[in-house]
Amino acid sequence: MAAATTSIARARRRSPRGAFGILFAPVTLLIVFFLAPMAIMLAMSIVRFPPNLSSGYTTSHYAAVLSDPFNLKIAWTTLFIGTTAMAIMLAIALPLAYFMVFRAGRWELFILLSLVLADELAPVVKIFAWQVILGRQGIMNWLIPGPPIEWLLFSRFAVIVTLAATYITYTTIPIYASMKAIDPSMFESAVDLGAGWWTQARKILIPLSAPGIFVAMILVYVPMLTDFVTADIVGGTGSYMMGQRVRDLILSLGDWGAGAALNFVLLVLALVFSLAAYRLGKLNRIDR
Amino acid sequence: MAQAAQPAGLGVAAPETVRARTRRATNVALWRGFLVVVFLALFGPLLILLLFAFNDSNVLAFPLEGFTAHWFVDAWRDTLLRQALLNSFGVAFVVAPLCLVLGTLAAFGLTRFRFRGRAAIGGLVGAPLILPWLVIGIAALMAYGRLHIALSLRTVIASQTICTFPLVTAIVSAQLFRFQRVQEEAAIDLGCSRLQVLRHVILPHIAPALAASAIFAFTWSFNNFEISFFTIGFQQTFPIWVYSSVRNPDHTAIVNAISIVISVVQVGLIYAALRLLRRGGGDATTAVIPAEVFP
Amino acid sequence: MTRRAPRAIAVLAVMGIVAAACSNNGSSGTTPSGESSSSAPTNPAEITGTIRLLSYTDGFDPDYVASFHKEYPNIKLETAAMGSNEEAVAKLQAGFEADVINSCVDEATLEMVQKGLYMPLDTSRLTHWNDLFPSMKELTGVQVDGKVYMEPVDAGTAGIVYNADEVSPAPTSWKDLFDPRWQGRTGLEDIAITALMVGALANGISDPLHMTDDQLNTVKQFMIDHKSQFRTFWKGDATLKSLFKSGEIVISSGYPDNANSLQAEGVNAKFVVASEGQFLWACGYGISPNIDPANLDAAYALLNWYASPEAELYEAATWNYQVANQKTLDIASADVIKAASLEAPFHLENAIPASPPENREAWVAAWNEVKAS
Repeated sequence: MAAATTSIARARRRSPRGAFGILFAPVTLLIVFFLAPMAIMLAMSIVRFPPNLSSGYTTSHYAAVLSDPFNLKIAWTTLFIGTTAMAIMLAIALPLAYFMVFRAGRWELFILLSLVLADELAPVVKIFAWQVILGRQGIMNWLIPGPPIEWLLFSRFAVIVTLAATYITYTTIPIYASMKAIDPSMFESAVDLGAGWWTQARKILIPLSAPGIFVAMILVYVPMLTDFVTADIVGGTGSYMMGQRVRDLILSLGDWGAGAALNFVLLVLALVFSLAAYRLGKLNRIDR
Repeated sequence: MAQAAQPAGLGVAAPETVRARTRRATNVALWRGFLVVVFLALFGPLLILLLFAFNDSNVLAFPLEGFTAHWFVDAWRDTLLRQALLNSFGVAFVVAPLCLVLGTLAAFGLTRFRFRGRAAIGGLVGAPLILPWLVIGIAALMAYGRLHIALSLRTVIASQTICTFPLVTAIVSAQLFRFQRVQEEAAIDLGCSRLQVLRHVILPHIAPALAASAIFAFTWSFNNFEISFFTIGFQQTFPIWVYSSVRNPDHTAIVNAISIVISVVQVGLIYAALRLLRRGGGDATTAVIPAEVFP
Repeated sequence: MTRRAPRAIAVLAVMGIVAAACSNNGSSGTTPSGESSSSAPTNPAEITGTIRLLSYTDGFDPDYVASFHKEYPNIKLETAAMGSNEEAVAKLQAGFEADVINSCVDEATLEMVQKGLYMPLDTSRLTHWNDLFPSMKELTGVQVDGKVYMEPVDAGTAGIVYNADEVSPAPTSWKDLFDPRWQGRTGLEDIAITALMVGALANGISDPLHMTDDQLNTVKQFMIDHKSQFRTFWKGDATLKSLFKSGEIVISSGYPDNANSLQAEGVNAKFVVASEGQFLWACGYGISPNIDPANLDAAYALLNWYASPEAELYEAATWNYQVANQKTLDIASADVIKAASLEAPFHLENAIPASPPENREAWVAAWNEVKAS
């Protein structure tokens, strides 16, 4: 007994060094392949003539990027598209997750599997299929009587719909996970106390799945904002998004200074957003 | 985490009046309709691709031109495509084990020990998951360019690994976290060395998470587009080939055909992954969620 | 402008493809037709090396390069696609390495020379140099300060492609692209030079290549104001074809072979030259100064193959490109000569020379603003 206690105590005392040994490889690699590129990108954004790192420092790239009216317009468009798509996805993910946890029974795994599959299969090519669905002579227009509806494709609508269909999986899964932690007897009590379904949703379901909602937003919102493939393919002329802007700054205009600056701004925004969502998620959680 | 034995949830209290029954029927119909719409949105595009994979035309547009299966044969014969597939498999076969090792190490390090800076390291590990891959990809491109490292499959492997192993960490640490130390301590009490504890107690327990992580890491690597787009040199991986080929008029239909084939393979893999997760314990299905938010 | 390829970066190592060549007769590729180089080995099978080729995708189309591999079985070709010349320049300057690089005179050839991305070529090692049309050799950027930097290989025209079933009477002018009848049913290629050129010509600017900054701003504003005219800005011939076939657009800027391949898909598409001018594109290949000297022979071999009559004929017959090598006319059929206008490169009516505008970067910036607004 005494020997066992000592060995456990010894193990605990060994902790800091043990942690160092185990974490050495992953952390070093992260520093080399993740932090270092970020640092280099930051450097590119503050030197006068990137990629020449000894050309003196300047904040002109940031000034140019943040004051360029086109960037502001693009940011606005991107936020509009991204937020609308996020709202739509939440509106679908919440009932879907609820159904999976509380109503689906033996179909639960099947739906989960389908969600994951729909996301993993045929990336990129899938987006071209949306042209066939939303196009002038496409499936939607074939179903809807009357003259073809133009704005289904090559529009912000098309980008929103396609983004929503693409990112719904990783929106639903975290919410589903947090709903599984809810004790169904709470609903029974609520029913006994006379609450209708909307009250139950408002007071029990949504607050308790809040952590999942925030995780979903962390996993999905920012990647959606920086998506450049979707807008390229179905966006048409009126929905130029931030991801395309960064890519074009670098690969088309060759403006590494502005490209790096904008990239870094996006990085900071992503971090801030994730931290905020994480904190909010924690605040909302009912401690068990 | 409760698993309901029978469906529970927001419901209507008994007894069943006619009005209640109609309400229930409407309820069911609404749910069914909702699910149908969701499934159509999820799988519609894939079905369309399937349709056009057999269409005798190189253009992804109606009207249909006639049934043919020759695109599959053409896909098989396309040497560029075969090389791209080989590259993707090769990269994934390197990335997946690397991610498993790194991810598990990180998972152990973060869940087993208490030390100052644990939150910071946790944030660092989680960062590639939450930061947009566009940002990471471009930073990597700049870094490789500045350091005069030639872009190649090696740079792709390096950058993909960094962005994928945090997923493994998340899955494995979720499972590790729920693991009861009691078993471990009991084994030590009974005289096992740490290595034996690792091999006989811990590893079997996290085996489902490891297997699922391996499959997810493999799939993520295989499907990876944004990171590869910016860090690849004179070789192609399958998603890059797809992206470039869909715009090449002679390749559009071949891309469809091969995407269908790859999809079928992936269906099998993912199914196996989830089966393993399920077997690992009733709550293992939630193991895909980052554990950081659910301490 | 060559067939606009996608924005993909990567390409594929094609190893040892031995396919039936279309028309290659033995090792004629290295038969010198003038001075012969003292350092070039005469047996093509002896030339070894690895070449990293950065080019539009048609530059390494498998059926096209099959004859190259047959003739030089010991040269390994690694290829990467560029979405546009701009992209290539951006990447090369960032450290991306390539040995043989494709560029187009109307896009970035001169810029590449000025930025040191091309090395001076030894014309005595270019076996077909003396057979090239003189007008090709005089294009901007091909020769700078008396040195040759790029070997021109192909050329072509850009005009209006339209669906004859929907658009009648036939369009005759770039202004027709802005006809309100086709609002939301028009396409435009997503390349800065082409797009702004169309805008300039539609606005009556007769010498678009020498536009002043004010004129450029006017054109930019005009394009921004008329953005809703266009269904989308397309990249790549496949996208153009699917847009026409699915009825999304009925008229667009495009190339002669687009109309031909659309006809094969059942769309009654026709190509027509715009009255204000058709623009010419001309492209070719050069060698990077950073090439490993051991691969230099192989690089010249590739350039020689590109300019050989047989390879040129493939381009003329398959894509209706004009060719740089006059000897191609000797082996081309009358149909091909006619279809690709092989006899008179650049002597076409209303041709706007294949030449970059002086303030090319301003054009690129302006176009990006149009897209972003």
